[in-house]
Amino acid sequence: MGTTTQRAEFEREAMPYLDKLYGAALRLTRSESDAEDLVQDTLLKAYRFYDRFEAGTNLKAWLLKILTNTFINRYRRTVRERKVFDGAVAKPVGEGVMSRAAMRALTTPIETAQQRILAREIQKAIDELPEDYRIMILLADVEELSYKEIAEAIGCPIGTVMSRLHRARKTLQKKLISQAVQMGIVEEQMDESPTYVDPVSLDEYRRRKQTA
Amino acid sequence: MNATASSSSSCDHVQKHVGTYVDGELDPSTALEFDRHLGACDSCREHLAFELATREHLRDALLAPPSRGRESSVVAPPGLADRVRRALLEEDRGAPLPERERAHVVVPEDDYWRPGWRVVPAAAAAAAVIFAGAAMAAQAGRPDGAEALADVVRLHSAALPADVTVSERMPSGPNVVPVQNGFVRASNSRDDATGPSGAESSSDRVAIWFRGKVGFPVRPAEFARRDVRLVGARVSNVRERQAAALYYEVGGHRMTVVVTDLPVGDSADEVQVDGQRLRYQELRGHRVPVREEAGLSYAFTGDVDRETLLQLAASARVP
Repeated sequence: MGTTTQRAEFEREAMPYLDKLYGAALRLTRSESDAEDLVQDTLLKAYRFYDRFEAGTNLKAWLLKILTNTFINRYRRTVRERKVFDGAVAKPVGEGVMSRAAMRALTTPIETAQQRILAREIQKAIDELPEDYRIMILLADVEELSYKEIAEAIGCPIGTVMSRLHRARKTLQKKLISQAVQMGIVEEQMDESPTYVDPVSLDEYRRRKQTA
Repeated sequence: MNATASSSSSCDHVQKHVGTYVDGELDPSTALEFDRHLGACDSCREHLAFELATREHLRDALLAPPSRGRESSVVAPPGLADRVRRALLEEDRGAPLPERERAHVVVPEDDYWRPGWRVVPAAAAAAAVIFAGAAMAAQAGRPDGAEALADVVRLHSAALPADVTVSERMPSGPNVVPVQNGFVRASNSRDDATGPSGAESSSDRVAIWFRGKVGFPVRPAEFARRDVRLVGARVSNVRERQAAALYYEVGGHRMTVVVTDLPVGDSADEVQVDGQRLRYQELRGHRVPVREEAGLSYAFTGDVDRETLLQLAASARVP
């Protein structure tokens, strides 16, 4: 790197992702000043290694990978993190049986007021997750990186991504259901109601993911 | 992905891997089995619907915080784009180091991914300080000890580039390599040496370099242990006050000593280590012992274990 043109090209390509990167950094660090530092470090690194970026591939994913990697490297060495990364992870999460009523209640649209409460509760549930579950959920479900991209960012095998993500989601779903019950969104005696399920728009979900 | 398909896509199997299915990470033949099964199984379709719904709720919650409108999402703070552009510009100015000097710049191998530990022009560092200062001033509440110590930890974590680096591998012994206007000025010629023997210690040189740069005299802490090495320094900030950040290597690990005229240890616990009085606090997983001498605070933090850090802080020679 090093010429004005190269820098201009990098800025033209990368800077449009500034808000997205900042959002991701804020969710990971949970601190505005740390998020700013993380974004700056990420873009500086990306610029240094821009020649390794394959043109035509997903720049946003590449930047998010660098961002995650930077985040993890910077914080992983502290004792607290080490505990989280090596210890709590192994705790098994039973498959359990999801209450159909609870699942159905959370599947059908809920009113705005409840939506807000639920959003707050989800935020809380995410914050309470062990650090590496939290990172998995954020990368897969919010930033929508592929397993391969997550594995590269974190530096672990794809199989590990899959199993950790599975456990992370199950943990979160359970929290979500118990909160929904507490909030009264779910009436526990609903189980015998007719099995009607809204048409599942998996295609639409994936289309959005493609264009994200 | 490679979630192994059982011969029959039983409900258990589908429900267990429905998340991977939604992610589009099942191998194609398994995904096809799932398609068929889901087409015929109400119960599994409920699981699929639930999987999709929870993700939507999650995205709603995290991308558009409830306090804001449904459509809004996080926007970077106004100054960030400029700050990044500036950093990129300075990166270009500082990048092409002559090969000979580059060999003497200390870049720890395991810090490949870290920012910092790279020489950039003093101008870049100054710009970063100005921005960091502005950001801190903007959000600074009461400059109490805890907030000041948080700045110390942040300085270490951020590992910002050194304004001045120290190399011990040059022919004439310890050298300080200040970087100005994009050029490394290797001060290893006899003319630069002011001591009678021409062999000042790296601490001397760093102390000289700091003259007039911060509002108090800075003299790097020195250590008896041979595996502790001063590798660089930068002018920085604690709260809105100028401070000196001194970068050391301890047996291959990083340690940062921040020298400030703020009483950063005030809110920390008092401890005695090897007969030396220290202030001590743990913050965001970092341990920060503080030595207070002659109206200055020396705050230590690093990627070394607690005992080592406390011993280093207690045994350091500080003016």
